[in-house]
Amino acid sequence: MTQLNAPDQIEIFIQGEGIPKITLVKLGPKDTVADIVKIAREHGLSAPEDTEVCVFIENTDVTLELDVKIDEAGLTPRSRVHIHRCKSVEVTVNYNQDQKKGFFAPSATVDRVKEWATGKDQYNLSPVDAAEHVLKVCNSGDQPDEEVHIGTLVKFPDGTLCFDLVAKQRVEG
Amino acid sequence: MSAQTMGVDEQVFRAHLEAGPFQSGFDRGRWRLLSINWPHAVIAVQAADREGGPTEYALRFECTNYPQSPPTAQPWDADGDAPLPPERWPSGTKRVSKAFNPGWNNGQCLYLPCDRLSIDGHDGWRTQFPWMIWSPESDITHYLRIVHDLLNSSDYSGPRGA
Repeated sequence: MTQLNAPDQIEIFIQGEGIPKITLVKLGPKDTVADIVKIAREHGLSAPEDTEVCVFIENTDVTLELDVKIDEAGLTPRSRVHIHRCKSVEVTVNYNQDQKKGFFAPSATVDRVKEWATGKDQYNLSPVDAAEHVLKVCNSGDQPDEEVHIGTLVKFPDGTLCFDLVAKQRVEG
Repeated sequence: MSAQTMGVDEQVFRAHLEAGPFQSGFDRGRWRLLSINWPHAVIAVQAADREGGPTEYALRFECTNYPQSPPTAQPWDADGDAPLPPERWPSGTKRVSKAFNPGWNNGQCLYLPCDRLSIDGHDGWRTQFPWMIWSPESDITHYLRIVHDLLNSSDYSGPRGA
């Protein structure tokens, strides 16, 4: 696919509070992390302007300083960040009448949480069984894609999230 | 073709290809665009390693009235620019063979709730599989994610003829 970017522009994938879809934004190398937040507001970031937000790198609890320039913040083209007021999310995963709790950064992907929940320290599913299960948001029909950051499913100040670990269904009928 | 002569459905489709959801999956190697010849688009979806299996399967989407109407897709031989022969369709023992069934609708579409041809007459799917139902707010990655999940499931065992 042809990319028509100015040579000095950097594309960054963002997700965040109020930004449920993965969004690709363009920044200059001399723009700052605060500029990411500014652009995120144009794409639906729901945190009011006078509130403190954190910018996380995907699947880490590393937050970026807002006044640091993009090229000094360690962000490379097509890096993935998450913007949220919550600093962590308490995740509950229900499976077979059992319940496990863990804490994750809002930038954790659904895939990362599933990996944790099905891992040997939690429900200990075999890789074959794990591949046939999916995380479903409790009390909803929503089965978010593996790339979705869990922060998009959480509304500040309630930093909690509940999933049911369920078997993937065969389409019949 | 210029944007002026391009239909709205094609303009929206092309915009979705440049947007975050499609580009994110492309970057992760989940799918890639092969061609567009409107109203058709051929997109390859990555598949798990299986003995005798390909690294990806191409789907030819028919996207008339996108995204107001769901797309429909059939497995495609991208090299021969023809429908994929049934023996090369993906197989499995449970979910995969149900979705990739060359006997369904003469192999014209996948047996999935997100498919325009298959949802017809399957109103029950709207309540059974709400997360797979297409809406006008969906983009092509909605369909691609469902296919990618199938092709990377433990049920997927490679092509039928392998």
